[in-house]
Order: sequence, then structure tokens, then C-alpha cells
Amino acid sequence: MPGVNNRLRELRGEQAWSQAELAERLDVSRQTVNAIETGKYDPSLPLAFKIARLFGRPIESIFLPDEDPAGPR
Amino acid sequence: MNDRHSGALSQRRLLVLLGGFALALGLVLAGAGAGFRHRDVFWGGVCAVLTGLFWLVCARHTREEPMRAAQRGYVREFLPAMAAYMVLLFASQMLLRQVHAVPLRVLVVLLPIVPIVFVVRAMVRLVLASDELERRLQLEAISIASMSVGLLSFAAAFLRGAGLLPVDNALMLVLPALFAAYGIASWWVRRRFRDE
Repeated sequence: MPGVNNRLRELRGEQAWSQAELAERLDVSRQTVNAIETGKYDPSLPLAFKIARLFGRPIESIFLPDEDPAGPR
Repeated sequence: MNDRHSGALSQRRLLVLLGGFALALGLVLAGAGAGFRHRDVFWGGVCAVLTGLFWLVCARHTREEPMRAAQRGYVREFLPAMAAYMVLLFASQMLLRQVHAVPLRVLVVLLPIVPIVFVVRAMVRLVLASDELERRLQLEAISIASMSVGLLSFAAAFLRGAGLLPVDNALMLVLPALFAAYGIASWWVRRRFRDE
């Protein structure tokens, strides 16, 4: 089943935030941030919108459909 | 932002502290139980030693990072409640020898349950303060734990019915077994989300 890729690590890097800092801003655990960044967990829509709002970008510029079914999921 | 947390209690440090305490307490109890030929105290000590070792092994595989506010709140509520439980358990056993009226004996016997209510309250608060991924993992862990312990209890009841399980007061073991199974299941379901 195709999953979702995201640019969370890249955007976090631009802000020079650690995973723990981003987790605190999103009110989630650092492990959850790590799981989203590594593609092991796809966030719910409310959390995805929260992430988009935090980085001031549209949600579709952060979360992208995984075109390759054999890709990471 | 990280500086704010420097010196804060981490999950790893807590596991080391609790593991060391359980190990030491277990060795004392097991020694006393063996010395005074008290079977329940001996096996209680053995369980505490195994729990302590399990926590120390978990600590080795836990990353050194500060706990979240919800986790710190849980520890603040859980530890005093467990300490109160141990004191009340001991006190109720002592008091039971002095009290003979049935209603009072019921109260004395149920006294250690009171702090366990606070333990359960702390757990519920932790679950309610968890994020969506944590809740999913907790649900998976509690499902595995409850079904495993339920199945074991069912099997134990058959064995007991046939007189093949020489354990008195087996119902007492259900809640601790559920906590232990939850701990193991939680570690198992979280392993696929470990840091890369």
C-alpha cells in the first residue's frame, strides 16, 4: 500500500531544532517525531495540520504521496 | 531549550534507581525467606530480583533523555502510592492479628487497595496525556498483555480445578502479572520505532 513521504527532517534542520525541541512545540514525544521523520508512522490529519501551521507551509508541501510502492513503508 | 532539562530525571536514570532498589529489596526478602523458611517471602523476593534485573536490562536499552511533563507527573504520583502500598500491606498483616471483628477485618484487609487506586489513577492520567502514536502503542501493549494474562488465568483455573497447580491465592497474581505483561508487551511493540 502506498504510504506518505515527508520533509519534516529537512524543515526541522532549516530551523536548527532538535527532535526534542520540535516534539515540545508539537506537544508530542520525541519518539513520535522520530517515527514520522523516518516514515515509520504517518501522523493523523490534525497533527499533520499542526506541523504545517508550525512551519507556515501548506500541508501538501510537507507530506507527499509515496509514488513507489516498493519504497519505504 | 535542552539546557532547561539538564539534570532532570530521565527514564533511564529512573529505571536504574528502581531496578537497583528492587534488586536489593528482592535479595533481602529472598534471603530472609530462605533463612526463616517462609515460602511466600522467599518467592516475593525472587519476583522482586527478577523485576529489578528486567528494569536494569531495560535501562541499558533506553536513551538518556529528559522525561516529558506527563511522565514526570506519573512518577510523582506512582512512586509515593507504591511506597504507601508496601507500608500498608505490611501494616495490614500486622493489624490483622489484633483485629477480630469481621467488618473491621474487611477494612484492614482492603487497606492496601487504597494506594493502588492512586496508581491506577496515575496510569489513566498518563494515557490521557499521551500523544496519538503513544496511545496506539499502549493499546497494542494492553491488548497483548490482557489476552495473554487472560489465557494464562484460564489455563491456571483448569489446572487448579484438577488439583495440578499447588498455588494458594492465585487471584492475587493477576494484577501484578498484568503489569508485568504490559511492561514486556510495551517493550516489544515499541521495538520497531527505535531510533535509527
